[in-house]
Amino acid sequence: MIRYILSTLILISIFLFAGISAAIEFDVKEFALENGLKVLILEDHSAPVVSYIQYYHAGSKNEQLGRTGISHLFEHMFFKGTKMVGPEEHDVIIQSNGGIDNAWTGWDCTCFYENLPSDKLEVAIRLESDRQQNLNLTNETLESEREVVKEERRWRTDNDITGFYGAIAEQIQNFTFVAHPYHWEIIGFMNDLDHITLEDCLIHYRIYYAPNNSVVIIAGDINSAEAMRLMQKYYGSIPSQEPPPAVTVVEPPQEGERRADFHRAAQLPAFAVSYHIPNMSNPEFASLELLNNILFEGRSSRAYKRMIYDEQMAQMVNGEVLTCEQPGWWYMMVRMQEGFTTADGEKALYEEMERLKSELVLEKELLKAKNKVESDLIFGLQTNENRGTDIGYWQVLTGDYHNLYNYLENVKNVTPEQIREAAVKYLDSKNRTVVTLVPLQSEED
Amino acid sequence: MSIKKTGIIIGCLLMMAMILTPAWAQDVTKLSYPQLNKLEIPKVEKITLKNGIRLYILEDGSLPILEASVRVNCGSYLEPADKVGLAEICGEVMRTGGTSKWSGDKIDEMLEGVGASVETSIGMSSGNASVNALSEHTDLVLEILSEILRRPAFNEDKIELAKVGRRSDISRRNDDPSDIGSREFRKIIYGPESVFARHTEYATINTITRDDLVDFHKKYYHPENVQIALWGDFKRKDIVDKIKNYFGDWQRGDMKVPPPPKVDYKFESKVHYIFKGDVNQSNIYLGHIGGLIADDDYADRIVMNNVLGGGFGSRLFNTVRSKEGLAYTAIGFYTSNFNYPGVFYNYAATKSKSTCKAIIEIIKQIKGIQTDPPTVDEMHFGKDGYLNSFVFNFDTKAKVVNRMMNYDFYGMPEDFLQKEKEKVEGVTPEAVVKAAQRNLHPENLHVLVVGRQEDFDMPLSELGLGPVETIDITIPAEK
Repeated sequence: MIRYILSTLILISIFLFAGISAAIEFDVKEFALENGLKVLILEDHSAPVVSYIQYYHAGSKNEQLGRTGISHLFEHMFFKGTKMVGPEEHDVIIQSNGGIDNAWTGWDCTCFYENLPSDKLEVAIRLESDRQQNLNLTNETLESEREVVKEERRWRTDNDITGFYGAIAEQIQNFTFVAHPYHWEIIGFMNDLDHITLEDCLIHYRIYYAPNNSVVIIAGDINSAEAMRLMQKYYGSIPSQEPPPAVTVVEPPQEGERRADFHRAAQLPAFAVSYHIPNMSNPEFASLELLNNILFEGRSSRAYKRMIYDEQMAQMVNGEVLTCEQPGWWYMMVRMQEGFTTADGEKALYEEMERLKSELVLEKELLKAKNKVESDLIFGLQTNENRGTDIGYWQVLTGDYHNLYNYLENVKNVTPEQIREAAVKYLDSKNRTVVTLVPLQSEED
Repeated sequence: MSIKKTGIIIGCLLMMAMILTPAWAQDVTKLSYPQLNKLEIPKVEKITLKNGIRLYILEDGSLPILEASVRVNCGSYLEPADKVGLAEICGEVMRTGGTSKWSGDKIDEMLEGVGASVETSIGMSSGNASVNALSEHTDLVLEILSEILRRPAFNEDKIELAKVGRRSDISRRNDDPSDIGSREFRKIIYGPESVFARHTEYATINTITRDDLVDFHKKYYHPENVQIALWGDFKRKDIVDKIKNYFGDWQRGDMKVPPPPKVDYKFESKVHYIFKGDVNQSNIYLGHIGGLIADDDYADRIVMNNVLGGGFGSRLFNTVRSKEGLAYTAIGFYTSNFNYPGVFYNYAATKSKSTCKAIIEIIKQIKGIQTDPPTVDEMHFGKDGYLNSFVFNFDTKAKVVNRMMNYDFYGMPEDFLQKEKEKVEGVTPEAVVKAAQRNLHPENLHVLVVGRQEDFDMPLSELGLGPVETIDITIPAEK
């Protein structure tokens, strides 16, 4: 529930597919305060509610080894009070006003949000502007929240083997990246969590939580001019800061398959696979998303149909092309059925990949994948929070939310030849990392 | 200095202070808000077809989509004890196994080719289906829905696949400590054989045949047991005509569906322990039987839940998580259902060495709400959160139309929610304490811990909460 780490990708949301563009085109009003705070407003008067979403361009990518997890820990610290608001009081105020609030941390950004009855917009602006400048960081609150985050790590990572943020997912990141900060999970290493100091938090706050490193999205039953008047009133006097240091680390090319075994108590084996891929702004990203769709999305997708329906060797197959600001990874997970080994699963999966490299995908199959992207997009647009979150995500990670329109255009125009090219280029065994869950029970047997 | 002058000076100072006080420093509780725009509750039209199907229709042209949900009056509580899993598999294979007209694979292709979805399931107390499609594909998805609900083929291969999946689920069910805890806690509360808690075993899966699925479907899937809610980009007349076209000639059945059985619960204090050797954290559950939504003090319990353990700002959150740093999640709810009692449950996951400390703290908070009335701030939090968030009950069309379908099924008045809102407005701190005294039994709690006892801060037997029973979760072998 609370303060969760970015769970699945905030994938692609607002696109303008031909034929439906008019129906889903949003009137986004753009503003900027003198201190550099960017504000995007989407008016929607269908219900008297509003979502207030504040992004900071700081995620686990902006951390250093030895202090991993500080972005997420700091997200928790953002609820520990200011000069005017006591610890956890932020939640109480929002909930008393009929709202909900929460936050999440990703690899590239951190996001805080409030959903409120629309007449209460000012309370969100008041509280968020306050904690952008007056956070009350103390050793006492750091110590208690450190323990909470360590419990979260035990719960979400240590004791959940195959979850999206589970132990195997962490291993895959650790082995896929050797230099780039995507090497570690967002939650951070347990030992690092123990060594984050108040001084570290104060530095993190000063560098990353400045108006010029932030984007606010307001979506709902509000008046743009009145909303901007409030934004100016509360944020206008907050000074901007020097831009945060850029993350310049470049992951060296992978020149051979990496493999690791992971031994834990479990009933049946599983394995995870990753491939290095470009970032979300890269034109090839559209081909990769469609490739993932062709392999994993829906019962008629290739890997699903073969491994679950036809050969009944796997209980679950899943793939996600992760939307990252910098070159990232394509993450796949397969849980085997009883009587099958991970070698069986890998063989089947790689054979399906080889088919995509050697044969052109049929137009019909490609169209199906495009339609799936389109329908996922439309059904994901039904709440203010989703619309605002997606627009903000593209704004923060690519510098311009209009890039998602370019992305849609790219998806629409992908050809079977481009699908094959992307498969040949990225689904290369030399670009692959594999982590295998070896059930301890099996070893004892 | 005259009093008048002093007053002027103070007034000037106050004005200066207001001018100099930055906006963020103003008291957040003193903000004045504009009038909330009027909440227009969308009107859902209810139509009953001649064959008994009840429709709930809501036009919404904001996006070019059609959505629907179906509720069928049946559930896994109707399956025989030696065939647990039958209803669930039936619900799955209705969709995957195809129909008399199309194979399951063909349906996959047809739906996925246009980015649409039709899914079915059968849960504990209802059969369900969901439909999502671009509105241009309305005919396609309604015809597929009709075929699936009326003429499922129950293909043997897909039945076997579903059974393989269930066997795999059984073999993995002890991997995740929180899965173990929530499963076993329901068995502790409702009883291991109860229809509200029982679960599949290899033996029950192995006895399920295609004939069982056919019989189950034949018994309960009749139009008079079916409700369909539809919302999206359509005209009312068009969608009703289409439903009549695809469902109008479905013949009524003659089966009267029995209600779920009564729950027989005896309060007692007991500690249950499940060994999980590979974890560094304990999953803790405390509680007893819960209540019904129709209970007289349901509104009082809404406020009680918010104050005790309903998320941020609640007593459990403030103490177990924020003050003590014992857990990432600390919650407590007295849950209520429409047609069988819910569960009063409290949950926390804490590092092994603070297991008993967390249990003691949770019990302290449960006892506390029976003696310490909510403060003014807590009442504000517990009531206003519910009242001010009322508009969120109507912010999507799906919520509005599905709620109406559910209320209709359970015979609840359409304005139940509005009436409850009025009741919550009148809840007092004394009423919260009385509701806690009436409904919560801290002296008679079941406590379940999943973890490694050797790492706990003290033996569970020293908690003074009754005998400690170790639960064996060994999975009965497949014969």
